[in-house]
Amino acid sequence: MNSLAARLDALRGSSPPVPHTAKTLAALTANPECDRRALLDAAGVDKDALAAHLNLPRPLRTSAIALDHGAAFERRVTAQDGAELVRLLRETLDLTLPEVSYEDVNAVGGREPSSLSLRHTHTCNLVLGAARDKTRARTLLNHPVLRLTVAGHPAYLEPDIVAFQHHETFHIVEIKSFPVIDGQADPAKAAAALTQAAAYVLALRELLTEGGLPPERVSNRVVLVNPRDFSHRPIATLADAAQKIKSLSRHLGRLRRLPDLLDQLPPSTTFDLAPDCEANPTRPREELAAALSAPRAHYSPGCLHHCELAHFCRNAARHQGRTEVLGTTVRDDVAGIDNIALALALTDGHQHPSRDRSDITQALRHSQRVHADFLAGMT
Amino acid sequence: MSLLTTLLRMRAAATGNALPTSRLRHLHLSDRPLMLLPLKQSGTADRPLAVMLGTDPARPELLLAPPMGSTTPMLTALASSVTAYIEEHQRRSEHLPATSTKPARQRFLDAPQLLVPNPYAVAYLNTLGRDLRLRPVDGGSVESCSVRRLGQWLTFFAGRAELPGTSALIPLTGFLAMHWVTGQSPLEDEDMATLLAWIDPPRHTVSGHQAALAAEDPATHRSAGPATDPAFDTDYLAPLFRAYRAGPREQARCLNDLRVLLAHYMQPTWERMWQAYTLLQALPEADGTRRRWKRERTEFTDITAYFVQDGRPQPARDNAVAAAIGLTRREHAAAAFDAERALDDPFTRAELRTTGEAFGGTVTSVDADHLAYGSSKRAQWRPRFTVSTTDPLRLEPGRILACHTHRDARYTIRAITPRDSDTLVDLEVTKGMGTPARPRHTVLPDTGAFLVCTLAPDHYHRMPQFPLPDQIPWTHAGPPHPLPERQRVKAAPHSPPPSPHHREDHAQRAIVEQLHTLTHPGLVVDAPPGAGKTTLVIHAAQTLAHCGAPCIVITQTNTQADDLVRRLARRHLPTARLIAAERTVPPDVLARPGVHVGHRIEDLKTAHVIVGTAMKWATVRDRRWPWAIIDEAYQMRSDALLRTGHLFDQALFVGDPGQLDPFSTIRTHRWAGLPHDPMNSAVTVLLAQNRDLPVHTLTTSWRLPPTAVPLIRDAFYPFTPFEAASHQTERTLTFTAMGRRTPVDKALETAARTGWALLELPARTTHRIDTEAFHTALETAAGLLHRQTTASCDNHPQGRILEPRDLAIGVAHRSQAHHINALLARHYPRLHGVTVDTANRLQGREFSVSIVLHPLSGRWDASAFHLEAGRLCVLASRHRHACIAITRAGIAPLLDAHPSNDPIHLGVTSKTPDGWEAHHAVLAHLAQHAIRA
Repeated sequence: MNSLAARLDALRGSSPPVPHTAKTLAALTANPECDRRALLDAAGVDKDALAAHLNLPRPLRTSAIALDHGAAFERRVTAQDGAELVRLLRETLDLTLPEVSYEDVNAVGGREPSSLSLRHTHTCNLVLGAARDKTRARTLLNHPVLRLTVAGHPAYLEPDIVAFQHHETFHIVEIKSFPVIDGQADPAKAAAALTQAAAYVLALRELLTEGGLPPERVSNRVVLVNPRDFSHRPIATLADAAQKIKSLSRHLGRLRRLPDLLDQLPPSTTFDLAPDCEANPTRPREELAAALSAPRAHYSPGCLHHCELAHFCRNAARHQGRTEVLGTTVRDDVAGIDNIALALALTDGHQHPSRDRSDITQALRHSQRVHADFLAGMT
Repeated sequence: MSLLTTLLRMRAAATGNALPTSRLRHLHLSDRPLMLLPLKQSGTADRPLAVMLGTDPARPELLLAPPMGSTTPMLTALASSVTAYIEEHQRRSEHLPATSTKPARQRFLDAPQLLVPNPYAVAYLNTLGRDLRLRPVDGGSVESCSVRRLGQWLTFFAGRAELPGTSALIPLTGFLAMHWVTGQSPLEDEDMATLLAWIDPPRHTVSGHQAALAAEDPATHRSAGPATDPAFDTDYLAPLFRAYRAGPREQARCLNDLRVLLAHYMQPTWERMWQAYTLLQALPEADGTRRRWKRERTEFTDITAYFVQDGRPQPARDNAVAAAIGLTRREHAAAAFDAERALDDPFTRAELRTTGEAFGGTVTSVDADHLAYGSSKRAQWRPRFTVSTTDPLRLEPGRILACHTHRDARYTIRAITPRDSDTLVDLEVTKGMGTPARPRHTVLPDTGAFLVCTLAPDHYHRMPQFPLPDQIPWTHAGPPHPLPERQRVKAAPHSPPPSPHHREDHAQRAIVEQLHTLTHPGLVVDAPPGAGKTTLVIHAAQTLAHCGAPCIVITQTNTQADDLVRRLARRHLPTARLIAAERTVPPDVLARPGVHVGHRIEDLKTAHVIVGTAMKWATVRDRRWPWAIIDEAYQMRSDALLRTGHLFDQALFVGDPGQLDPFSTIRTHRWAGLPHDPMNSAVTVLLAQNRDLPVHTLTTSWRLPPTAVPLIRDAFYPFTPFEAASHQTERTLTFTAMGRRTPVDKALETAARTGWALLELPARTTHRIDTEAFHTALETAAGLLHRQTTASCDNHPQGRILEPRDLAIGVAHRSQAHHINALLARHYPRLHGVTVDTANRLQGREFSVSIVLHPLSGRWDASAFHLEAGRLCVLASRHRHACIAITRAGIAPLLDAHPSNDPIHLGVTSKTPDGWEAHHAVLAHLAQHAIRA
């Protein structure tokens, strides 16, 4: 395992690792076929820094204004020891008050904020204590720190809230700033929130297992807290994350292939930016681009919405004239041919199709004839 | 999207320049549209940041919302600008005289048209409209009233935009994409700047591709909204927002800076919107465009009248009736728009030729004097002609076609004959040829003419009837109908039954006997594949009809209705078949004694059981029966249940929960999460609205062999435990002739031994048409016949040699079914009679051996369609003896790499089992019976 860690460190180079977050884990499920992304995330490479150094567009930066709104909403929900939150959870999870205790793990031992590992230890104690002692008050943990084993490494994750219910079940609570209007949220954002919550569920289950407790005590159902309609008032929704949990653990399992992926790289491949004393990257761009091209990517236009390096992969795919740059419909229509020039050469009869491409060639040539009919005014 | 568009997209990518597609404009463009460019404040639900609007490209109006505090002044200004524009169109109207169906009325001569950059702007206006129209009106102030009215107008426009072919509110990127194809992906086409750079690159640019790259430059690229660029937010807006919050002294300066900043930010997009307008206006209008705009003027006139007469804001979400009407309107609009474009636009026809929904060819022979003999036995003049085409056909005999050169004529396909190099299509003119006395010879083409035929539009003229909002049936949470006092019937004495046969009879009898004393308004019976649904329906109909009052049976398709009538008639029940006027009943049904057929319910007085499709039943008004039986209720869409719910006091719902869900041609999330979502199945809505309704399960499959039951049950029916009625020894397949030890023979032998076989072809990514796999499927069928396979079962304990009709080949796509059928006709004459069809159409059918082309065979990705559990379930559960799956190797890694980023709708329970799990379970089982070809 250590050798794997060392190899990943070498891949990253001199910068400190960007830790796995629930977001990067969620990205695993969005494009599990992409070896490039799997390696970059496993090594904790700062993809945004690479994109900046390579002068690529960076549409995924987060808006400071949106962040402010999100933070303000979370403060409103958790203010006064979570008074508003307790009220919401009481309604959604049938918590009976008054025995809710509220603890903010952010401020362990009076220092603020404490280190991740300290907060994790504290979270473990609180969770296991609450789980074992049935007489203790129901507990709400704010800013807990959980640990999930990703490809043999511990990754620290920070869910918003863990709630403990009287049916001896733990629930993950996610506070999200996108609105729920008339009971519905943006489906893509809701899916992302649930995948993120799924990572927390898995981590909390790991914690219970290590503490000798049954992991089933963490519910598949998670609580989303969002602004209600057009107001700043929160609404809580109980959502079933079972499928997201299943698929995330499936994709985490696939990370076992990391050593194989590393083996396929040329020796001494690194994504190091070689920062100088003022933290400005000095790595020659061509060299970095060549290193990035080493692991196999799986580009689709959808990557532009969730990967910082999507433009890098798009440029490469466009340069090679690959069909996937034109989207899934094109890729589906000419399945089996992954090069645009080849598809056109087959269509125009400049190339004879191999046996396995005769079906698609026939279809393409037919489309070409129909287009000729159209141009001749015959359709 | 068609293969033609795909080809053009690849050409555009190769040349670096966009290509024109359709050269006729199908959406009306106003001479004076209101251009509207809204921006939203990041992180909020719908708080506006700024709106640029106007009818003059040179003089846009910029309305600005402050970073914090009230937006009412800005919204009031927006309301006044938008309302002023709308009112311009309410001044002049025309008088329409009364017709046979409508009274005389007024209609505005023009209607307002809003143009926005992209679909996200439409969604934003919809959300904003939802917010504003339901805001409380404080004290009836003028401002709050006008803001609320703005919300109502935005809701109206956004609602129109959801209907295909309408042009009250149009996103320009989508409009441009109807007429040009670029060398980038459709996802990137949603960006106005790059899309226009491809289509209309600035002068002195090498290519559209280069122009698009330049347009993407982060230093100058500005998103067309409504979301602003995050970098712009962070670097420019956030500092101004902070300064604004700092104190009132800074606020005036900040607002001024903000105005300059945003004007600068929005100006390029504003100019592009007008550039797009100019490009689109240069295209000539199609014939249908004017007609559709007339419709738009009518809608505008109607909503104006509504605001004057009633004026209450539209509710937050649709009730059951409004949702069902909304879905039907969308489906009608989409079908009508498709049909009109096919008749108007040669490019649309070219696309349809590549998808197989149209064909072009040369007329090879004409029989101008052909006579047809219909049900009346009287000769009718029905000229015929034959077309030779090389287009791939996805049509079958009986389909009705239209031709753009004679729009009123209809041509019915009588025969399709595939030949080596072409296909012959025999067509009969069934409408528009006049009478023998006054013939219209023009509808009959000359020999040698080139003809393009498209599918004729369905009968989509009139909206069907829906219940009034105060007549919502109990199935959709309406008031319960008072049930008559029922006599308690003594239950049959219980005795432990010895065999599954008796057990099942007992279970069915228990259900049927319960019906008489049922105090609930309904009862649901879940039935796994082959569990005797139809038998139950017959028993129940028999029992209920004997009570003295007729029982009605609602089916989902005409074929199901005909089948049921046959079986009811066999039991000597006076049965009636209610059928739509344009349909005919198969002769054998018509000939059965005791069966009455009628188009109107009034004609069917003597029957004990009346059978018809949900669509037909929905047209029956003002009648009510004590009982209805709803067959295949899981395939019924809930809006069909809403439209038939007035017909019965109580109902028995019978269906298979594991098969394909009903579908719609429309994609919308508008009703997601509602308990009465019209796109859900009837049973889902019924149980959501009537939580205490009893649900029973039939627990024996008569069809599936013991080899199939454990897999099908575990993979697809985790909540419906069932077992096989037969014993292993009863279901055997034996071969009379020897095999040749080919992979196909090995697969046959494995299937005979174990009930399953997986014939695995070498891994390869293929197009949907994989001729090699198709031949393998056909050879497998041929092998079964060639080896004179004897099948024995409970029905034929002595065994029976399999015939073509005992076999089915199941596929995922219709194009595959058509292709296999064509191969069968050309190369496998002995297989004539084998059923080749899609999962959708194989539902409810039964065969001895099914040969299944695995939905994921040759795929490069596992899309939701191919992964759907219901599809696999139907394909894998049609057989009495064995199922042989044919696939390209490589499904396991495909499943492994399948992304799971499906969108989530709150309040919608996720499907169990999901497609991924079901596929894995089936594959794991099949892998034990794999043969490599």
